[in-house]
Amino acid sequence: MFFERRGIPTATFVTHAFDKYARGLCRMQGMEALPIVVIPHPIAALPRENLRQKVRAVSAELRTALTRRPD
Amino acid sequence: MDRAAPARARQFGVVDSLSNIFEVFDLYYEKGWTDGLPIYPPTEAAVNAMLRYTDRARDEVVAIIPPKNGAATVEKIAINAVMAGCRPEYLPVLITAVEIMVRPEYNLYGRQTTTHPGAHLLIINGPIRHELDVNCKHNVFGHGWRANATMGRALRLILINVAGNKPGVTDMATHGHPGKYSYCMGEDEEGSPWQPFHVERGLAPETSAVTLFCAEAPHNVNDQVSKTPEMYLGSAASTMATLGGNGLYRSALRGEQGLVITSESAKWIADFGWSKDDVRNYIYEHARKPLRELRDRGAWGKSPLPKFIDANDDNAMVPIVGQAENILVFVAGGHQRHMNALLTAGYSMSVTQAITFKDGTPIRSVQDFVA
Repeated sequence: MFFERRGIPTATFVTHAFDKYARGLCRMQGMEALPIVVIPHPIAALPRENLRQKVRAVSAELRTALTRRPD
Repeated sequence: MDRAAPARARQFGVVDSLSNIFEVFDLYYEKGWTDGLPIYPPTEAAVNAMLRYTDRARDEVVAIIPPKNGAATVEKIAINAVMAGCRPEYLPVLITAVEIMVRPEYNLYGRQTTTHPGAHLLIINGPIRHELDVNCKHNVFGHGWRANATMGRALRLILINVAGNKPGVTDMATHGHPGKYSYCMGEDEEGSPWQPFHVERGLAPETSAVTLFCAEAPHNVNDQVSKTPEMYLGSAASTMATLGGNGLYRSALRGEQGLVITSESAKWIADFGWSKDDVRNYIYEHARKPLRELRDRGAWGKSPLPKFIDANDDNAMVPIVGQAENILVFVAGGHQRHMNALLTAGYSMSVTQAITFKDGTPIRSVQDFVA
């Protein structure tokens, strides 16, 4: 939110366990359109390759988040 | 930051009589306005009685509280104080606490939304401890004192009802801790051989003050046997530098860790010629772990190491805070030589402020407001 308010595009990663929470906080902070990219929970202590797979699976969403102007 | 309008509290048509008290509790619980415990109904009369203990206007905004950016008006603080079971004269403590909890260094947005189990420990100093009967001694973190039980609770209710705090929705604490119901202590100034905490922070001894310190649940340190301050505080240092604590991995950030010592132990340590600074320095130097034990576990790699630690030296001793001043020492508790470690997430700084009139003059007594 800090960067987006300064015009710097961001993509915020959350795992699905934190999806509702992240969107709720964005709403409370008046930034409902903040791009959030959701990956499957959990991620802590995952082998690096498994984590990469989770991120690769959302690469299209990530690209959109960083390049599309919010509605 | 968007500022919510300070709306006047809504009123409900519930008959003000004892037979309706369960109906009120059920209604407030269903609306999500409680911590789960029964509340005292915030009737107009009860709220007005509370408002006598301030010289501020009812609709004055004391703070905008994250994450919801809700406006904590004097009236809303009073309503939550009534609900928590506070006596009216506790209000000046709560107004001060709300005012300081939004200071940037306290990092309230982070503290409110994190998975870490931090609660807002309200520490009371000065003559107001006697006026309000704040417990500073036996069972200081436990039950039995109305001021401790309800002032901490009122702060939690304010966070729920004004700031949008909701477990699993905005408050993602994985486990939380019982202090999230109420977390409030007074310092045992009379039993301390050292300066009271608020005096350390530049206030006069006769000034009453509130400190907020976001801490985990107190962790007991039992040492009945050590014969020297070094050995005794070594037990505390060991408890404070645990592999599962945040401190060892966050000491390059702005954070503090706390230690509560009883009057009995503090006097015993002081008899060896030790000042509070000596205690702080000893804990800072000894609450450490070698880098090799920290590598690839805990919160390793999420924050930088302090600049004075060589990341290539496996034997470098990593501290739990960046400097000795960030070890906070409080004197409180009953008899015997127990201590309590108050560990933190490591990226929040405590805040202390005098309890004052609106114009900033410290109050001498809460009765000043009604005189």
